[in-house]
Amino acid sequence: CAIIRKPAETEAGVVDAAAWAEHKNELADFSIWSLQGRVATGQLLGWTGNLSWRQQGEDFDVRLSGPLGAGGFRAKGSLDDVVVIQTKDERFVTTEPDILVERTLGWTFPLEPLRFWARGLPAPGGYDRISVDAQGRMISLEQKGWALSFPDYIEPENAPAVPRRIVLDNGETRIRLVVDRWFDIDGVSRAN
Amino acid sequence: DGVGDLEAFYNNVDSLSAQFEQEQKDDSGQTLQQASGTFLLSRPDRFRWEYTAPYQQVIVSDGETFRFYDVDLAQVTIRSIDATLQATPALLLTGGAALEDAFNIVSAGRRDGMSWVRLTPRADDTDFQEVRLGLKDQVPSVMELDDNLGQTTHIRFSDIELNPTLDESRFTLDIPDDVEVVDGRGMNGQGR
Repeated sequence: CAIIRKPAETEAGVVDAAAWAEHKNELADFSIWSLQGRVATGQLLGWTGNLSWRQQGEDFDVRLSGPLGAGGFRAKGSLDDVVVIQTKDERFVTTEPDILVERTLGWTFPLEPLRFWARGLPAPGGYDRISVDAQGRMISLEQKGWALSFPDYIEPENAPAVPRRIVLDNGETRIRLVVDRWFDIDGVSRAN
Repeated sequence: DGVGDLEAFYNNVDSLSAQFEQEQKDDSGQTLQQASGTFLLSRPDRFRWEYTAPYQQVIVSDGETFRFYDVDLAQVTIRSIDATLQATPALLLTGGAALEDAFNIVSAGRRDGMSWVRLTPRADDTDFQEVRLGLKDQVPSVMELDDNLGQTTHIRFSDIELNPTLDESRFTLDIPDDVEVVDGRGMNGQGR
């Protein structure tokens, strides 16, 4: 994974660098996880639906469905090749799923970076601003054109604290994500 | 047989109240989403589908509009009935002519102590590939919906009460003022 485990030097917005470094290490080892949540976007094309996300190492299977399980899309694959499925006969293989997903939904659902944001981690590739609390939990982040806030966390069994609620805004689309359940969790357990 | 029992249900039952358990599984049988709540029906086209766990969501139809309120996400989405009802399980239970127009309906034998009906949408752009309805004593007890993306929603009803008197207010939604209302009436479905 791209998180470089260097000694924790002080960083603007990070209250306790050591706590943040340790939390990042735990989250980075979190290779197998699933979540069940709900998503709402405001603005014109108001949309509300359910989100299911299954992650196995690099492979993911993400499903966004409307109320009562209708509509939305499914994206399956790994980093460089993703199959986005809209309806039974519309399947597209792509290396840029976010663009395809936007065409499906009509709004941007940042699938690729969300793989990290959902765990409370910045996506690889640098970020503009971050704030991390004394417990080493990311509270806000500006990255890839999105402003994110992580107002509350939950602590599922055998897993580090992960976000329960995330608000994402890129100036056009404002997404609110609530996570109801984290399950099938299996990170690499390290004696620490 | 199944179709006969379903017709008997439509003829004998004008209103219904029940608890439901809902589970969504993917094509490998993994559980993606679990939720439960209460369902109220008042023919011909009023219903209330309310999730109480693990999240609070209320879906009501007063015959003209379809209101979807997610308490956590503090958002209400309003749609006109024709745009969305067509693609939801709720239509199946309200029944009537709209059902025959929308679905090809055949009996599908007996299993698990129930007589089954298989409904396949006549149009090809609907959200469900196939719906199966299991009836016990001429009352729907299980509903299975295969969507287009390889996911099946299983719904099991319990504590079913037939022809209860249901107050009108159960099919309207009093929207708190600090909630974002997205009025999509006249739009076709969700974010298509």
